[in-house]
Amino acid sequence: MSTPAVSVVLPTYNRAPVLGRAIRSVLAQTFSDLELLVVDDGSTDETAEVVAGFNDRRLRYLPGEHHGSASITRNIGIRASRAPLIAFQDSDDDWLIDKLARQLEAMRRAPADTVLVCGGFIIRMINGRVQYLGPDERMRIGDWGPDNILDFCFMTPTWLVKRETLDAAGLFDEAMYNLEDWELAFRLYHQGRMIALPEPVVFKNGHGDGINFRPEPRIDSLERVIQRHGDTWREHPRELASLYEELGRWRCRKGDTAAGRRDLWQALRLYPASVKCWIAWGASLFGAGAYKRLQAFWGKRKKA
Amino acid sequence: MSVPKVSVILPTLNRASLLPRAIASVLGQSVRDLELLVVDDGSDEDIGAVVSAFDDDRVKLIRHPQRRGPAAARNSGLAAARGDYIAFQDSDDEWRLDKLEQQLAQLEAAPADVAMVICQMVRYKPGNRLWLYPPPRVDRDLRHDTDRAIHRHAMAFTQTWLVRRTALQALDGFNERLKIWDDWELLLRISEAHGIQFGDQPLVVSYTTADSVSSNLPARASDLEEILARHGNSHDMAFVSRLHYLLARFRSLTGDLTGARRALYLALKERPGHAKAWLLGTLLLFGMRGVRWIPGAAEK
Repeated sequence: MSTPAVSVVLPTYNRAPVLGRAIRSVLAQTFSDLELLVVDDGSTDETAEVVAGFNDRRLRYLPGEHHGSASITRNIGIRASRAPLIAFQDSDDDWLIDKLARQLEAMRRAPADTVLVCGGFIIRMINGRVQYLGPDERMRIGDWGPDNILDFCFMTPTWLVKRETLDAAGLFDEAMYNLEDWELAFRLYHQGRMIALPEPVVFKNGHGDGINFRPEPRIDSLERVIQRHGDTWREHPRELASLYEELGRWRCRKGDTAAGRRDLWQALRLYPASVKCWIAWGASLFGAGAYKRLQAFWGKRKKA
Repeated sequence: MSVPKVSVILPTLNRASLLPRAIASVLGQSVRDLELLVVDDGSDEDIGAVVSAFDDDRVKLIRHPQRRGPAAARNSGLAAARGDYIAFQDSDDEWRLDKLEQQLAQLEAAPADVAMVICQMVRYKPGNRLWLYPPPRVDRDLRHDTDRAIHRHAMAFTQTWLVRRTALQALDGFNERLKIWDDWELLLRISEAHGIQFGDQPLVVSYTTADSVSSNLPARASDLEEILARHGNSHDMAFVSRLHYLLARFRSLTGDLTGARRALYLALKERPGHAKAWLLGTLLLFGMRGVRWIPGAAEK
């Protein structure tokens, strides 16, 4: 069978009810020269049956044992893929039907050193509201700094990236359980040009739960990103400060106000103009309990 | 040949470059048992080539030799439709791939008097702006009293509908004399005879190229006259009063102050407490200078 133009990697774990929709939105793309690798992280539900229900030669099912890491699962898919371009899908998302066609066209028209095209999301929250998250019109082509990577929600289901670039930069960091795509983005940034399609390419159904809302993975991941890529932000102190600020806040929220305060102070040294950061630093002086109460109060005020 | 479960009607006037997305999202549905009737309303572009490129015998092309308007195009599709259920698609929109599956499930589970379900729609505008249909103020009314909300808000999008074919055919389809509100007017007639349920998932993604639909005031005024001819005897006095009020407003904006005052009188006759009508009446006392204060934006 000839090599497809695009390999799509779809990691999945126990999402049988919605997996079919995610698979269908890839197989129904207006650009059809692709293979879809569904990499199963040891699901115990009807995932295998859902996959078997599709009768499409482009679909490849890779069952495996459970690792609990999207990085590991995606890397398995990348290593098994055959095409020169790689895209990613999440098991609970839909691709808009001409995503690949639009991104391939953007890549075709972009300068030759382009290694990655991303795009935006339409996200439907649990409360029913819909929102656009992603690059805005100012970010058409080129001139990306690491601050842009922080500017918007830069997630793998919107990526179309060259396989050789992934190989050169290294795949996903298998020790990270959160922000692994962000971290990889910084490595890719050094490999070549990244461009943005400032329009939605994926429809996301938002969840209230999920790994993004638990402190430990987030703290570990932020630390790792800062450690590995702090240098990249030398010319963007404000962005680096915002990472330290977020790290500090998470630590305070978790109860570790001494360490959190150190991070917040680092943020203020880099960028003293953030009032929010000063307030957080001040609150942390009164210990974990006070910090949490202040945060709850602030949250209520914002909603009112 | 067996009868398909769903007939999808897709009227188009040119838009050949956008059509593939719209068609692909219908043919890619998880519900396979459908026919797609593309109605070419006298396009200059080669719609036939776009359709045949799909190589799918569920798609059929119907051609109008002369342009007749979107209402007539949808009626042509309706005449040819064989499915038990009818859905509509617009040439510049896409359906999420489980739209029919979700709507069929909802309609089949609904009480027997419900003949129609309507899903939500997300409209993407340049500048990364999203608009959700129904918008929050309409949504609140819909949850409270669906029929009243449909009468109150002149807003309808056929691409969000799934209707029993028998219900539509009994109503003779769209009124071809309407240029803007043919979809809302049909929705009114459906709601008179049948139950309608709204869903809470956005199953259609709509794209607009321009920032606003042209307000076409004369067409809106004439549409309202036609709608009043059919619905002016409704028992819902607030609804009839509102129709007269809207007509008065559009007539004022086109400069027909005499006609506007006449319509306002009728609006107040139906509903003497109609505050907006009194307000408009007050403005019209100042003639064309008063007209400048009228909000010019239409509901749609």
